[in-house]
Amino acid sequence: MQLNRILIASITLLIISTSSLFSQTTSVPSEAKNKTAPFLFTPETIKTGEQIFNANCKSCHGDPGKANYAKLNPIPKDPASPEYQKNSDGEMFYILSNGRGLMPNFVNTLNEAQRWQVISYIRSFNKSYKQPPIKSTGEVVKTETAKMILAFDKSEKKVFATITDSVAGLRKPLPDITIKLFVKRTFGSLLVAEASTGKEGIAYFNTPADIPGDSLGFLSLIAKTQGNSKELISTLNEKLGVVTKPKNLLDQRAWWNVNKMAPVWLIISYLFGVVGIGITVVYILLQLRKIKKINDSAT
Amino acid sequence: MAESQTNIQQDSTVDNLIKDLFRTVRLNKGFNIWMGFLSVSLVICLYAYYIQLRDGLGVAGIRDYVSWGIYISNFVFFVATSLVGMLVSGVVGLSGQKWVTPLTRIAEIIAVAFAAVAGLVIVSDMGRPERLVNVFIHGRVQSPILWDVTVVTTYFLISLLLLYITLIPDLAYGKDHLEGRPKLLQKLYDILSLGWKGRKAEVKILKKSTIVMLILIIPVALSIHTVTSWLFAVTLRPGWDSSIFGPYFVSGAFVSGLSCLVIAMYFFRKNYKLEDYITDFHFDKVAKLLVLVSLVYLYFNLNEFLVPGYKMKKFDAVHLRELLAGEHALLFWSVQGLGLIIPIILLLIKPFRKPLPMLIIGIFVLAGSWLKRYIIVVPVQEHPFLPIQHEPSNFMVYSPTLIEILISIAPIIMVLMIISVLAKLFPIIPVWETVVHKGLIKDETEIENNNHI
Repeated sequence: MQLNRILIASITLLIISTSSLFSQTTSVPSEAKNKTAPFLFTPETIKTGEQIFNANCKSCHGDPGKANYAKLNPIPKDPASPEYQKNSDGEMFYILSNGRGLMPNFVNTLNEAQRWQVISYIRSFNKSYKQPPIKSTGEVVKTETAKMILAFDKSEKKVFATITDSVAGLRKPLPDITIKLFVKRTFGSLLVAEASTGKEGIAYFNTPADIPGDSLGFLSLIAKTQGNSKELISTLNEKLGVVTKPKNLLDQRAWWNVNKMAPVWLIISYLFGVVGIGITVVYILLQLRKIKKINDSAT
Repeated sequence: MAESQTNIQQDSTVDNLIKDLFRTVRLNKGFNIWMGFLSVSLVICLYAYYIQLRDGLGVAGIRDYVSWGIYISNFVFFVATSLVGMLVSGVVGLSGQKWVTPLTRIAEIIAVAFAAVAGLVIVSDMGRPERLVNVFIHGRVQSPILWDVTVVTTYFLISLLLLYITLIPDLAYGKDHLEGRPKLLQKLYDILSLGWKGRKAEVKILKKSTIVMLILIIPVALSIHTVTSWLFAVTLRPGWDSSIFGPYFVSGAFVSGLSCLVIAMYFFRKNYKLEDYITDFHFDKVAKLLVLVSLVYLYFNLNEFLVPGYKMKKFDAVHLRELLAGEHALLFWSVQGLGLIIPIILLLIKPFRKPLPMLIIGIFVLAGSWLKRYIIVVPVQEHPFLPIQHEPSNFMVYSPTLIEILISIAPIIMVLMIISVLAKLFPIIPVWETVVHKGLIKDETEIENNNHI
């Protein structure tokens, strides 16, 4: 009896502890909590947000307010629910960026503007919501005339980005802007380096030397500025990667290849079998001929 | 003086024996009616095939998911049953079991008939049979289908050759004992007998050739059913993805082949009045052999279902539940019970090893063998790895159509026709071997062989 009780108690404990493992609320850092959107939510941002939501979130969360979420454990929360709407914009942004429990992160899938657009769509289900005033986060590109150029410094052997702004016809460097450098891969972009621009508006990146490139060693690089309304993007194709010769699986003899490229041992075994049986049958036929000959000569 | 008298006596008994065994080689009314009935049935079935040729495979119940239906089940069954030739003549014959002599020709005729038709059964599953030749032209040596085509064709040719070799002395006897039979048949006997006179040199060659063929037929027969099992086992589907499929199929083949032999034995004994040659003793022996192979098959069944059933891997579990407790459970347990377990138990009891009980048991085992092939082929395909969505219900669950059933009956009729014709053209009991085994003719090569050993 006692053993049973202990067993039940431990199973209950186990269930509680595992379920809490999935549903635990990730603590959101306070500075992230207070983060605000860099733009005002408008019917346009809501509409774009809806499209992004339908493409990336709906499969689990369903339609906001309709409770038709996927049957997962724990259940994906309804973003339109009052419970969820209690989160601040910054908290929502943090969860959306970093993921939580079973929910994946979207930091490399959606850019910042897109993430905020999703939040603007989710907030549209909350009638009592009032967007907090937009806070300036400091080092962001605020002007429409800013430009970023990504290039390769041959003497330093480093990739660098230059951000300038056009002021009265002159190009003025923009310092202290954080840039993320990605390498284009087959499925999405891989973050490889992060750097901030100096006084000259230049940021140097320390890129790893062992990234697989194409057959000539070229990498497709993408630089993106972060934390701003106007996202600057610049790309560069440079011979920075490891030369990777794509391996064609059809170049080798294999089960899955065409007849001509069959494994040698298989061809030999098959022919051995067929020829072996053939020789035996011919031998038997010759024996029969012998019998006939014996009798023909006798008569 | 005394010696010559025994010689005369022996000659007359040999003569009587030969006469008795050639009794069955004649075309009588009963045979004509039987063949007429088979022909009419075949025409009906072929009309069904004509409809399939005209309208396409859609007239059958097979669809995108269950694309192998009773045609393929039928094919596996045909290949399986043809293995009996190898078992009886090869394994039992080579091991020196002389009692098996009167049964070897029946087994070989069954083997030839089933192997010959097996290839046709596959064609019935082809939507464009006129493209059959592409299988040979564009076949890949890596494909089990090419291996299957190769071994089934080879096995048919070897079985035919084996049947012919063992017939040669009988054909020579037949030349003198076929009075009143059609001239064409006598001519056929004359040509095929190769002028056999039973000289020592001839007997030696024939014996050697027979042994070579019997040795050859064992690996070829094993490979035909092993390769047929690989058509399934080389896929990743739960239920087919099994490493014991080769021996599992081969042991199952012995069960279906022997049950077919039992039925044939009963009918030939009864209709051809061969009670003196196929005796209760033979039924008793075959029954024991059937128990042995059934136990081996049961053992493989246990492995095939218990081991994955213990682990219940995600997709295996879906398949096993459907089979053992779901939609196919009734069929599954009926086949295992009525077609395997109960026959084993009954055949262990002596009164059930008599001809009539054995006929009934044989029919159950044979029917069970056919349905077992259905269980192996069809239910697996109803649970693909990816869920079936937005499909009409007849895509999800397979049920054979009338046309499909008729087309599947056609090869069975063909087999019956081949067996009937061969059993009418040639003596169904090996005459020469019986004569030798009864000691009516002295086997001069035997003494030599014994010296060798």
